[in-house]
Amino acid sequence: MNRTNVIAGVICFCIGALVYWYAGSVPAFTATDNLGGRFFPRLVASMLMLASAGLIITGLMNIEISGGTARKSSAPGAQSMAGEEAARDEQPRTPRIGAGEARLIGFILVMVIYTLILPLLGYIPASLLTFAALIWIAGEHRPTRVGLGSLFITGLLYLLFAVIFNMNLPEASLF
Amino acid sequence: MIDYASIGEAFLNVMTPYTLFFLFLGVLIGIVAGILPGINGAIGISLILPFTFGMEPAAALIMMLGLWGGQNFGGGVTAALIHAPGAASGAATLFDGYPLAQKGQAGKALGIICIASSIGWFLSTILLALIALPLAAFALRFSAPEYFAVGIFGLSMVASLATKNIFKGAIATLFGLLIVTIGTDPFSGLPRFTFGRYELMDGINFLIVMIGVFALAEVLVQVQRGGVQEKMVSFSRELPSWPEIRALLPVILRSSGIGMLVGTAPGAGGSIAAFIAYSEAKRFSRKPEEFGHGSHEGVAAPEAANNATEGGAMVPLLALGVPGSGAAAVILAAMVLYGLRPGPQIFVQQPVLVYSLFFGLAMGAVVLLILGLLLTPYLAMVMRIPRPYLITGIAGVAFMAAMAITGLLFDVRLVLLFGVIGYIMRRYEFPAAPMILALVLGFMIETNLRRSLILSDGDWSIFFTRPIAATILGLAILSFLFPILRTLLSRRSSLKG
Repeated sequence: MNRTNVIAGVICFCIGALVYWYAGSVPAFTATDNLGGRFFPRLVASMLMLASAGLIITGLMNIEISGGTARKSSAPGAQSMAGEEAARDEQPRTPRIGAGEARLIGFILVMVIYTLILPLLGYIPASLLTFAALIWIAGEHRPTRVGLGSLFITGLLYLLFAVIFNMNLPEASLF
Repeated sequence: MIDYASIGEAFLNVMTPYTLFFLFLGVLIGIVAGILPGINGAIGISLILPFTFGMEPAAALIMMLGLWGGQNFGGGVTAALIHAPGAASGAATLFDGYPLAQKGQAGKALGIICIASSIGWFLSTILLALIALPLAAFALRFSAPEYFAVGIFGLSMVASLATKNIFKGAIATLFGLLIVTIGTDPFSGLPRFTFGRYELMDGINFLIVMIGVFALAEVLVQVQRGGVQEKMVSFSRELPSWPEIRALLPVILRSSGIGMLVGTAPGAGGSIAAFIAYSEAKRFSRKPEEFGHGSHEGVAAPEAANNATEGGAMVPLLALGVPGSGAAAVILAAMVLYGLRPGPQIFVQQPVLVYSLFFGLAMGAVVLLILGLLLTPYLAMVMRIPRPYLITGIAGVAFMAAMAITGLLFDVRLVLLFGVIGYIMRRYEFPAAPMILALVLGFMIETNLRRSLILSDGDWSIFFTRPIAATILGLAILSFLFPILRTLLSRRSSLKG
């Protein structure tokens, strides 16, 4: 049994069922359209449940039905790569699970905090702090380089977007 | 009928310093994006898209096409220099590009990559001009059922072809369609899945989703992977001689043809074309034993093919409004944002723009040749940017791009949300490209499905009694079912064996 696929299939099935149920709150028909706004989401949700059932069943049987071109290369000595890379062109690589997870969670948390402090501190102070934290988490631990890196990225983005493209950036509401 | 006045006007438009400047810039950004690991054409185009809103649509689109072509080439540069393609399309170049560079002939490897890429790209433009016009003329007969069928065909090809698990491809596609339903119902004007948020009344901008699932998700992958810097080797700058290039012309022409044909099929990307071209080059070669040890033909074939997919991919995009890859989907999204409607009508309504894209693509190949030969050795230096600064910079650009779209902080949070969703999708091998294509095609599919059913008074047979719609839908069903049938048959034969 491919447990990951089965669990993913069950989650997607539940999402499909939830969308199908929630679409009931959308009007069923109007004067110009007897299908109504709920028709299409319900159709897609039903198909999502079907596809999820397919994923669950194939997961239980421990089989993977790959797309056509994922197997198609005939380059001698390159067949396995071809499959991998064919998929990689449209479907990015699967990252390895391991020590990087803490870095990943830290990075996401800092970005969440960034979206919260941006309207409070304004673009420049919020970015200086956030980028320094991101550089640190990503692996650069020398304080001077972290500070200079953050200053450079913030300054470059400000120059590019605010000065050259004349874009309005969030201003501080705290001070 | 060919409109010579529009062709002349388009040529003059492309040759203005304004358009040429942005074409150069696009190719340059594309080369850098291709060299940077993990940044593919879709990511690069989606990051620059918000900053092109004030530009003329033709110049902006030509810049994006330049970026796409430059990125295909840039991927081959790192494949040859550090044995790690910056883009998947450069993967087949590893086999001979890297050994050639290791022999001390990196300049030759880069020169062959550049020349083959430029020729492949240029030739694919000719195919685009030859096929897109008659295809668009045929597609002018389409009405709602046919458009619905075309949309489903585009989705089925990508969902079924480009994934390791067909059900995951289908689920990603269906999630994309569900995201499209958020916002205002196009028929009744009533809110749908907006959860009381005014920011969602106009729906979720597909650019926000693209930046999240492509760019930010890649940042998260890189963060988790860790490491500070890629290994960089020094290399000679001696370019290939004219006799060497002349000897490669047959393989470049053949590989360009393969790339062009593969590119026209939705879902088949540059890497597939490159591998097929590599295989064919070896089969036709007089020196097949050199393949894998730095063969010039082994470098030229995949690079000509992967760049030639660009013109091929523009055929269904322009003629039918169906994108065949992630990068094409972003370009389609850009066209919609500029108020253009790709499909057969665009050839009638905007002939100058269409011909400008043809000329822009052809000029892009020339620009790539110039920039590639002059700058590549120096551009490869971007590999020296340590990863912590690079990924932080990309995250910063992603947030800025989100802010540039609507100016709402809500969209910045959405980008982050889709970045995390994109990461989870990668981790559990759900492909992002079908979701993006569904986002782009979803509106067309829903409106034409409902319009068709209104026309037929709810009778679904309208899709099967009209020959063109029935044929296209039949192909869509076949393309989706083929991998399932093939797997079942191979399992049965292996059980018998």
